[in-house]
Amino acid sequence: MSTALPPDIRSADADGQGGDWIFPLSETTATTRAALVSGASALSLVLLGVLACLGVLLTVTEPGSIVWWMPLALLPLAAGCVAAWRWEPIPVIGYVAIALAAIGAFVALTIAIAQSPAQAPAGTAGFVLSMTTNVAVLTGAASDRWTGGIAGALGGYALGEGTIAITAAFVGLQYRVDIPPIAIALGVAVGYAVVPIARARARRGTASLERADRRTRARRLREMEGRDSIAVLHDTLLGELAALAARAPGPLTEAEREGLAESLDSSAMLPLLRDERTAEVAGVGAWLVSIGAAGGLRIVLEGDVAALDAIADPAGSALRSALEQCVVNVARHAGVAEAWVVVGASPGELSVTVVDEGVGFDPGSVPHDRLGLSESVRGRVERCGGSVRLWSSPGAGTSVHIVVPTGV
Amino acid sequence: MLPARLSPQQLDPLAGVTAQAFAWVFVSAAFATAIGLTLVHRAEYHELPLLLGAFAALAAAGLIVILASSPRRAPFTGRAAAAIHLLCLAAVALEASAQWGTNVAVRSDWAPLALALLVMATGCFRPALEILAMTVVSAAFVAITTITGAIASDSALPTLVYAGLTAGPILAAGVGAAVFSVTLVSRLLRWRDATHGQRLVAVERMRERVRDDLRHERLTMIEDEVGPFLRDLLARGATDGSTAASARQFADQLRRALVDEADGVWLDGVVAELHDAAGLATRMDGTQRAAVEAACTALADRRTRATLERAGRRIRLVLVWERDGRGRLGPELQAMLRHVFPGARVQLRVRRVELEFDAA
Repeated sequence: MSTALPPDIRSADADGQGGDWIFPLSETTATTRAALVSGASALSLVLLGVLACLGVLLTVTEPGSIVWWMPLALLPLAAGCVAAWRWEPIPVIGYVAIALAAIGAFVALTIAIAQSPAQAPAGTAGFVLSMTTNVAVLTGAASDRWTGGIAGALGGYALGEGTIAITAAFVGLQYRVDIPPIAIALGVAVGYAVVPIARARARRGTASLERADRRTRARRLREMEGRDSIAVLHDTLLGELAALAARAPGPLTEAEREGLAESLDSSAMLPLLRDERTAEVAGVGAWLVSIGAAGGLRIVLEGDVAALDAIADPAGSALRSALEQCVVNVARHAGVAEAWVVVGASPGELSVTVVDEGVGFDPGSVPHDRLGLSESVRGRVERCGGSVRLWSSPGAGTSVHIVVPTGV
Repeated sequence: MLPARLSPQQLDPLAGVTAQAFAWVFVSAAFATAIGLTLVHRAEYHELPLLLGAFAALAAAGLIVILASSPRRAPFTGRAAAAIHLLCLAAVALEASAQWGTNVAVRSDWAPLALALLVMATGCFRPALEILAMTVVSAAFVAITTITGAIASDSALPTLVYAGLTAGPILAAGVGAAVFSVTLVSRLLRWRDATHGQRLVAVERMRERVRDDLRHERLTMIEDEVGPFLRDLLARGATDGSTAASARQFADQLRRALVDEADGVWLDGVVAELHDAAGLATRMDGTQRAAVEAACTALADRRTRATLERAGRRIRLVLVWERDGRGRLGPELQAMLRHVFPGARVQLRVRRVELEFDAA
């Protein structure tokens, strides 16, 4: 009969750490703002790059259709865009410099378009001036540190479109209302205005999630620490009480006195107690043999026994305590004089199988209140990320297969 | 993993709820652009069915953006993003066909602009690399469509110029959306790294408190009867006729207390009624427990009942709450539930949530 024992506490959060899935409200404003500024600036720079490429293309393939220096007039806009993105904080003089650079670029571009036969018929609504006005809108929004981008977007539009209109009047370029930059300026302003509203809606749950996360983690730690101490109590006080319940009246032996005193000491230390009893014995294998001998059981060690000593805590202490309980179980219940402990080491994990040819039992019929296998063996091993499998049936002996991670 | 391969929604599910508003703004802008430009340049369109087909494709793409960004359907998937691109490309092709040979003002084509706007909406949800890859492919398709259309219209300028006018904004939008996404992800990762130490300290502090409480509880449990009994036995140095019976009684009491504690289910104190015969609630990890607890806390006034049962190889959690009382399962909690149970089948109905997740 084979019984897989799935973990009830996942090792992934065995350290009780959490909380990194709830981004705090205090961080979201700056983060969203930084992302919007970066995104808008990148978009603007690509648009300017596309415009520059088109200008070069027209100059090369259709000489005279556009003035050759048009791509150069885009450079101040690109510089303003980078400044709005990377300059933090922007001083007043910085804003003046960015605005002057933009005004200069729009004056130059309007003159360039007025002198370009391929663009002039479209007036101020041609693609060059239209797209650069969009860039002014986005740059204005990115550089706005006061209204979250709303005034910046509208200001960028006003600056771009105003400069174009005035310059066009001077150079004789027909002024035409261009719808896309107006729509984009309004859209960006609305978008930036929506951010705080949308964020408030989304973050309503942040506080309750954070509280729930803290409660869950505290409960989780309580559960894990509590189960550790349940296992220790089972191995100490409950064991002593069971032995006393089965004992005939009479004087206590020295070993019994020591056992009782040790159990009382252990219980006083709960749940800080960590199993350190093996430190006094030369190796885990020898220690298991001594435990078996105390219960009249001969333990035969096989395989890579030295690997038992090499495994670090917490897996090491959990494995040692679990193996101790396995050996005690065989001595108490199996009705045999010999048991085998087989150790196998592989990269990343260590497996140990405790085998006896005793009376065996039906795992499905173990009373619910028996804590030996569930807490002292399975609970301990699974809390450190390991697993336990059990094979047993009446008359056919018992095998307990334990696997723990070694982290190698 | 590189920040460009991670999505903002993966790291901060609540950001997806914020971004839903942007999705609506971008979809509305795409429709407004399409309708406005069609009306202004209506003379260029001569195939009404094809134009209507283009609008239908855009409507489908917009619907996908709205649905995929909904907290009820979180997270926004790569498949949804691909569908948006495909539908918008269909709109591009249909619009180009509707004005084949009469497309005088290439800049007035609305389908490429609508695609650019919807691409920007994906920046809140999808990884930067994916956004860039899809954008480059779509821009290439749009450029080719524009070039063939410009040739058919016998355009005055080099066809590459027209391709730049339609594909350029798409490329710019894609780069902008990708930079937006990668900036969010980078800052989220930086925040996680920066606060990792603080969280560890907080956990250790919490662990110390828990251990103190637990030690007090254990000592109370033992020192009440068992401790005095054993100490008296040690002092006497011998057992008598009543010792075995007392030891058995104390062992039974102690065992019962420990079993009750080991069997305790965390969800029991969170809902009004819990049906979990197999103890399946313990199969949820810490994050899942916190999300379910937050949901139940939000509905605390509405007598929430939780049922856990096996559904094949999975576990089904059903939360049902009453009509009366305050509190609701808001979009942020819906999104969080979907996020912390990856791969789970989540059904949100009126006053009822069903989650089917893999057993650990």
